[in-house]
Amino acid sequence: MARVAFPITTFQDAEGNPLSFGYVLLSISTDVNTPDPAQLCEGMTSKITLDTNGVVVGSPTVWPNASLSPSNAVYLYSTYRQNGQEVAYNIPLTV
Amino acid sequence: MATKNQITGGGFQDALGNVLAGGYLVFELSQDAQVNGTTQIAAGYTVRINLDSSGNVATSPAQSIWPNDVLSPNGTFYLVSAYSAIGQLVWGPNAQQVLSSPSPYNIGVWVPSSVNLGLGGGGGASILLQTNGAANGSQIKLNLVSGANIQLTDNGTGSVTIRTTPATSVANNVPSFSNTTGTLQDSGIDILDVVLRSTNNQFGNTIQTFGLSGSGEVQISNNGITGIAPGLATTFTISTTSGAATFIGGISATDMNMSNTFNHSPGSPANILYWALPPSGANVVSFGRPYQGGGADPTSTGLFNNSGGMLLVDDNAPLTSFSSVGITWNAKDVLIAQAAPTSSATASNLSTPVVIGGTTYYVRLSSTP
Repeated sequence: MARVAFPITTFQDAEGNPLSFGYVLLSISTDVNTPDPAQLCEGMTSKITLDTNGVVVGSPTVWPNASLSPSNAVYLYSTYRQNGQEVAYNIPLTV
Repeated sequence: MATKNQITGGGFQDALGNVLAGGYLVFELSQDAQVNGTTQIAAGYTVRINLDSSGNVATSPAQSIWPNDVLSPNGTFYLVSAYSAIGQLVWGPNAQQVLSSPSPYNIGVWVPSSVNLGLGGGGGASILLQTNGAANGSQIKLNLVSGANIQLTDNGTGSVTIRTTPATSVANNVPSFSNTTGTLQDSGIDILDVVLRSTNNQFGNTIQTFGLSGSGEVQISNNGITGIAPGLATTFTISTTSGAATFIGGISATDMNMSNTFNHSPGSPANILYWALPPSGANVVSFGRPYQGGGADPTSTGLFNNSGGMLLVDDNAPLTSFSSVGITWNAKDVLIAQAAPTSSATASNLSTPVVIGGTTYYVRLSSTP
């Protein structure tokens, strides 16, 4: 099983405004093993930047949860405005 | 002697694949342990393992650690933590084991907090390795080794298949004797009984001689000897150095002509039990002389049981004396011989000679005293 594209491409706030030049912090809920084989660290947080329309910059990829072991791990992401104001916190995500 | 095992790999990274460059691992043994019977491993000392720029265990210089499967007591493990280059804890602590095989050992295969072997540690149930009920010398390693003609196959799913690999193929249910045309001695196969079974003409028309050293018996199974082609001489001989030789079972050849001879060696009595006459239309069964086809007249005693059938002696060299044939007669036995009685005792047991086709035959039925 290979890595896949991060499934969310656009981020908005509660009022529907795009998180222009905001960012997303992504982590995993627990340490897991990947098919590489390699170790994915719970304590490492990844940053995804957004453009003026709140669209993900670049093509970040992640491992599908089904390929991770232990299998109960989920991704957690939090969103922030450009000025660092938190918009959403630790939203679980299964890919 | 057990040695340390180099560890490699790991690939420590974040969710997007950014590696833990320049980080390090800290290994802490779960308890004090011993290795090679002479060396104490102190759990209080932690071991630092450096990662390279790819988040893998740095290989220059190689970094090695004691594998848990060579440590005593069983069931030890390491508490492993991964730190960033600036000392932030990013992974663990997780209970992991390093094994002695493979070498080097790639820690990328670790499943976090899942001890790789159930060696009795981590609070799990312990195992006991035994052979035939006795505890094995090593309780941490079980390496199955195949002996002669045994093949072991690791199925890769936790099971191991054990099967024999005979040096020579064995057809159907015919036992494999290394010297089926020779003599089976007690030193070769320590047996009292030899059971011969043939369902596929395994013996064919070849001469089969089985000798038993000492007492014993040779059995022909109820399947008997089959597929003996007509017109070919087949000799089945039992020889013993003491005790009786016994044929048991059917002889179901479809066409056993007069050339077929069932013998046993001189000096030993023969018991021939339960033979089957050929099916209708086949040739008449002829055993030649009952004890030695074409040889000297027998002097020992044989027995044809009640369940036996018929003895036909039609020998071109007639017996010189029936009194020398010490057969115990039972019901259903018939003797037809081409020989003149030479003693009054024998003569009284025979019928009036019958001339058939110009040849004189003497017939005795078992019901005739």
